[in-house]
Amino acid sequence: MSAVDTGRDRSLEALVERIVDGHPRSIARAITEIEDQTARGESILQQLPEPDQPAAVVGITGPPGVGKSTLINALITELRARELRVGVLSVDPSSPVSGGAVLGDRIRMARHASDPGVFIRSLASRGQIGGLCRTIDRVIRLVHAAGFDLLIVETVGTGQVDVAITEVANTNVALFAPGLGDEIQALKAGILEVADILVVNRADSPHTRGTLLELESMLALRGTEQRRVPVLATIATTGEGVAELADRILDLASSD
Amino acid sequence: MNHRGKVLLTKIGLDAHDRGSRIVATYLRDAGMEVIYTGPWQQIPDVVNLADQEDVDVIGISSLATDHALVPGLIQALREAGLGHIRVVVGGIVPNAEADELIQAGVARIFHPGASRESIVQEVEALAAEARTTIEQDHQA
Ligand SMILES: Nc1nc2c(ncn2[C@@H]2O[C@H](COP(=O)(O)OP(=O)(O)OP(=O)(O)O)[C@@H](O)[C@H]2O)c(=O)[nH]1
Ligand SMILES: [Mg+2]
Repeated sequence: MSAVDTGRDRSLEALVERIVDGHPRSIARAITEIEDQTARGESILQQLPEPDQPAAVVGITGPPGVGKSTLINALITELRARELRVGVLSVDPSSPVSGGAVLGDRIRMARHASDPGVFIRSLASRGQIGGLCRTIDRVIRLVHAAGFDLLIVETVGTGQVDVAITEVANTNVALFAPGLGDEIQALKAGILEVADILVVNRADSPHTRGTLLELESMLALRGTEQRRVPVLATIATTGEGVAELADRILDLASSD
Repeated sequence: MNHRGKVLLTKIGLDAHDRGSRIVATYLRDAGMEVIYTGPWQQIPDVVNLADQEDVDVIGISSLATDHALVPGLIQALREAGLGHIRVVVGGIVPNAEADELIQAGVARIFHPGASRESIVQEVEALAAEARTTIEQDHQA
């Protein structure tokens, strides 16, 4: 490529074109620019075309280790079988001391690494509280512009209610582990108000039924004028219950 | 926020011992780097695609037995994919004769048992900065 006057702008235009074509390297580079909050990142965002339709963003929240990444892995398989292109953004916490991070969510999604219909990116929270990173809405805009039908966002999983996700996702899935009992009571105030689907994962545990009933009865207490919130059981490691979860997610995504 | 370096720590081949990678992951994190950690038994094409999507600067391969013999194949695959700017380092037990071969094949650095935390951190950080500079030069082109 020759270094003519307009070289820089032309390279930006070409990059945006490749992003819109869904070229993984270009998407990846652009996300780095957005994460680093560079001027180039801003220019890329400004040049993205207006989307034909709003992004369908699914938020997955739940306490540490409940199986968020494993469930996303199973969901990807299910959504790919339905020929949807899936983007996944998994947020892990940055160390408040060093600013560094170990991003381990992808361990659970390894089998999708080479599927061109799947784009997975790990993001460090970089000082943002609430289970996400500061640039998440911009990264979502970018991956959406790259033509992914459904975007799945995994929050940090602080054990607190990651309510910030409800500002970026239009379908919010909250995961629970069987046998939480009192902890569920504590979570009631926050997550039940904002979740669209409740999932008891690790349903291979004998405590599953009790937890399902508990969640159902807490939902019932809210009164009948509230929107219907499905309560599902999944075993993320085997994929059991995941087809139904995909059905509910797609129902909500298309009704928004 | 500053880009301090993004590193993929992974294991290709059959050996399952990943304690070394876990320790190095915490060293790098505590030095401010962002580390993707995958666990053992990764396939080379998957590592290449993962490195691509994550836009990493450095790949660290841990090898205690014979896994390092697969590293030249990884470097080749990265170059073919147009990811030749990514610096590849190997940590673990590598016999001297084979170490020379790895360096010839394009491995940037081998960390033998007993390599200090400081040297690992400093050198990986420097290699990450080098990789970044290569990309930025691409942008100007
Ligand atoms: N038995 C059983 N184990 C599960 C299930 N789902 C996940 N696991 C296991 O739980 C562990 C943690 O799963 P992850 O998917 O990493 O959990 P996570 O919520 O993403 O964890 P963080 O991102 O660290 O908060 C892994 O060892 C999984 O194999 C399940 O339905 N049943
Ligand atoms: Mg996870």
